[in-house]
Amino acid sequence: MENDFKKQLIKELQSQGSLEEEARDLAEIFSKISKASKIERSHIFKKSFLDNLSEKEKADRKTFFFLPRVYVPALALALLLFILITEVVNAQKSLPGQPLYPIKRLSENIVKTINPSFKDEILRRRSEEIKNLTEQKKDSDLLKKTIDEYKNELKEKEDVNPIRIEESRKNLEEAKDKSSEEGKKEIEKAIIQTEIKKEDQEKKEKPDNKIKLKENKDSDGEAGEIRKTEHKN
Amino acid sequence: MRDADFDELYLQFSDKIYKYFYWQVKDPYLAEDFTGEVFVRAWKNWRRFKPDYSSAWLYKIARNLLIDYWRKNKDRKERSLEALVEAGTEPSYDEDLIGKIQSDNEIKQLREAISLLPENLREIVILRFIEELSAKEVGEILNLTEVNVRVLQYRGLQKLREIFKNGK
Repeated sequence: MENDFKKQLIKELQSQGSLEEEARDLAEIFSKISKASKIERSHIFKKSFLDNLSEKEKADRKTFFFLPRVYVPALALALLLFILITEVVNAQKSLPGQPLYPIKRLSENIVKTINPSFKDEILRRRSEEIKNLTEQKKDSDLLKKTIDEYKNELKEKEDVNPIRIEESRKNLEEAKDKSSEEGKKEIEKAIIQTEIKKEDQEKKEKPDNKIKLKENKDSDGEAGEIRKTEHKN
Repeated sequence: MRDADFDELYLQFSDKIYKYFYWQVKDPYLAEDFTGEVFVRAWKNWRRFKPDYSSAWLYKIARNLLIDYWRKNKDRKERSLEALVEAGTEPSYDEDLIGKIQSDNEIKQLREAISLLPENLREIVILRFIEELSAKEVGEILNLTEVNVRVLQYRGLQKLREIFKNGK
């Protein structure tokens, strides 16, 4: 083997321009290196390395089988949560009679329980649904049912947000313009109730203002008296 | 289970890889650490292994490891040991062989002669005359043409002859 290598080397050196004598001389250097560099680790030692690697492999396999037990349910849960959130978000744009509408109502009820002021937003949403249903010329029963729900929401609310109620009124006005004769009457009734509620709200707010103004005047009066007495002294 | 071919590959090439490292770093313990690391890496990438290319593949892993070592030379031995422990293989050494390496005069002489070679010639001499790879194989590992390898091996041998003549 070494001789074959040496012969091949001599040929290569000659092809590089070496004379035969020099090539043989240099090939002897190779022989010297080759002889001195013979190093072999024991078979037992090599076997122990492979055994060590096998142990590591077993440990890795255990880790590999353990990981899915933790991550698969967590991933499934995260995926389920993601789908649920996406459905709820998509449901917010749905109209009565559509498959996702019950999810929209359910989510509204949950939020309403946590945050009572969300009722104003629900009122506006019903009015918007009425507007969209009339635009899409949907089933009149569905429209009537939605108008009824709007009225119920309106009745339930004692205090209404002036901005939201105005938005609701505008939506109903637009719905009335696009609605059929039968629908128009129902929407008209809802508009009247909305305006009554709005006026009631304004009345509620006005006496408060008067009382506040009176209180301010009274306090100014007392302060004025005190100021006058101090001045005299 | 690990492929039996891997065990065969280790038994066939681990001494060669060990020698490659030993003549480069001149430290038998570090050479063993590196050899272990080469085969841990090879084992982790076993699916990509191509039997016809086994020798060049292992030497390329070894060479990359060595380049990385020279680059981060400051941490020296500790780094390699850490890497092995991290990979899950406890380092162990063939103390009999290491004793022999450290006491052998021929090995010592050759080690000193090789360390006097310029870096580009040293790697060619190790791969070509210690590992006894063909010029083509060396070219593949070092990304050189066969002709380049032959030119460099010629220079390497000339330089070694000069070193030996000067009594080093």
